[in-house]
Amino acid sequence: MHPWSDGWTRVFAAPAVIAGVFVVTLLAALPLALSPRTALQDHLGASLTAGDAADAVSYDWWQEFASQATGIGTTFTPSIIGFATTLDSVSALLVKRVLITPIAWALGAYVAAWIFLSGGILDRYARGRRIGAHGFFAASGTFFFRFLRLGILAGAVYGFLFVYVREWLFTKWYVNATRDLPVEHIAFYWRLLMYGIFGALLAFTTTVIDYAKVRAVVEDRRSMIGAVVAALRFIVRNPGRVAPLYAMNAATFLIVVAAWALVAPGAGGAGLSMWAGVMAAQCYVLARLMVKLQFMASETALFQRSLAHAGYVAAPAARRSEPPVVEAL
Amino acid sequence: MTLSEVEGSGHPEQRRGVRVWWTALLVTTAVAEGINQFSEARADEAAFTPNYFVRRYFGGFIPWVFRDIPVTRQIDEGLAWLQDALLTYASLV
Repeated sequence: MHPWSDGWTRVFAAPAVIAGVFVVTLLAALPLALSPRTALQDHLGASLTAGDAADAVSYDWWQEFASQATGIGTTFTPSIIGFATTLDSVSALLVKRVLITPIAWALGAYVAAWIFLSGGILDRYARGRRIGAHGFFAASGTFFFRFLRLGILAGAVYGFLFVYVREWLFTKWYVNATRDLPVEHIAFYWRLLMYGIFGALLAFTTTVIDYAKVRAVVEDRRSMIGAVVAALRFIVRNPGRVAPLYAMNAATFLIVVAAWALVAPGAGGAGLSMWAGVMAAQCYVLARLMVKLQFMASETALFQRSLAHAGYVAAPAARRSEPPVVEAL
Repeated sequence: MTLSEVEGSGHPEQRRGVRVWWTALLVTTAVAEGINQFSEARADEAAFTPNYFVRRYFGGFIPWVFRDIPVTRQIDEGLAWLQDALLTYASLV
């Protein structure tokens, strides 16, 4: 079986993992989604505008609210509607934008949750069989501090890319290259080139970190520097297999995003259409999470296949110890 | 055509032609420019109604139209002052 399809087989064989990461994502986002509620209630009150805002977008009121909003309220912009949310998120990642404090904290907590869960998820996918909640969380606990150290390494590399490389690409090279251009489309091609270079650097870094995690779990590595070096060695020796797999997963991701662009609902009004919009958005989040899990599962499958020991994990599976009363019997 | 011209007003040639016409009539370039903007906005309104709120992403290159948010020229595009200015000028001459 090709690692790509093997990855999907492993993802669908562990529905509890899908449900778990979805719940974690929902719990991370819910407080942020609920926090502007009071500010909106206070601003609208019992006015006639409240009725207009419930039926459809009241842009005049929205501008008035935005002009006095603070904190998380400043994120209540038209970019929260439908596919604009995705465009805004990706655009903010590539174009320098400072996160406000509540979102930075929530993002930090979410990343920490993924660092904790990654060990259990990779262990589950590497073994290719049910390991139970005890085995899952034992693996998560075992790899948490290792992945935390790996996270510091990854953070340093991503920090360099976002602080220095992005600055150099977009505010120096791009500006110099497009100064005094007579036609706009040439500037657009330059912009695409910058995105391509920056995207390729991000993709390579992500791939190295991903394979470092896979090697750490499958080979029970304790040194994260060793895992990164081993991951680089694996990628350099197998570019003909690593790159196509990454391209297939990236294409899957783009298909999910394109499908969301086609079906993403508008703001709608209160009642059924609002809940239909919420459900559609949650389906998109679920699909995105499944693609993320597919990256992990397919990379694990590729590495195990390349070493000709599919399903092998160096560390023994954690077993729940029998309760003392059973031993007494 | 540059991005700022696309976002702001019409084609440079079109703008230049209309400005020359208004300048010939009214002599003062500043007033002609104001009336030029106003007449252009009126023409755009007639051609592109209903108009929707647009936000640009990725450094201004990718526009996204919000079909939930219709905008009016007078209120949402802040051109009401131009209409008032024209009416005031018309009452003076």
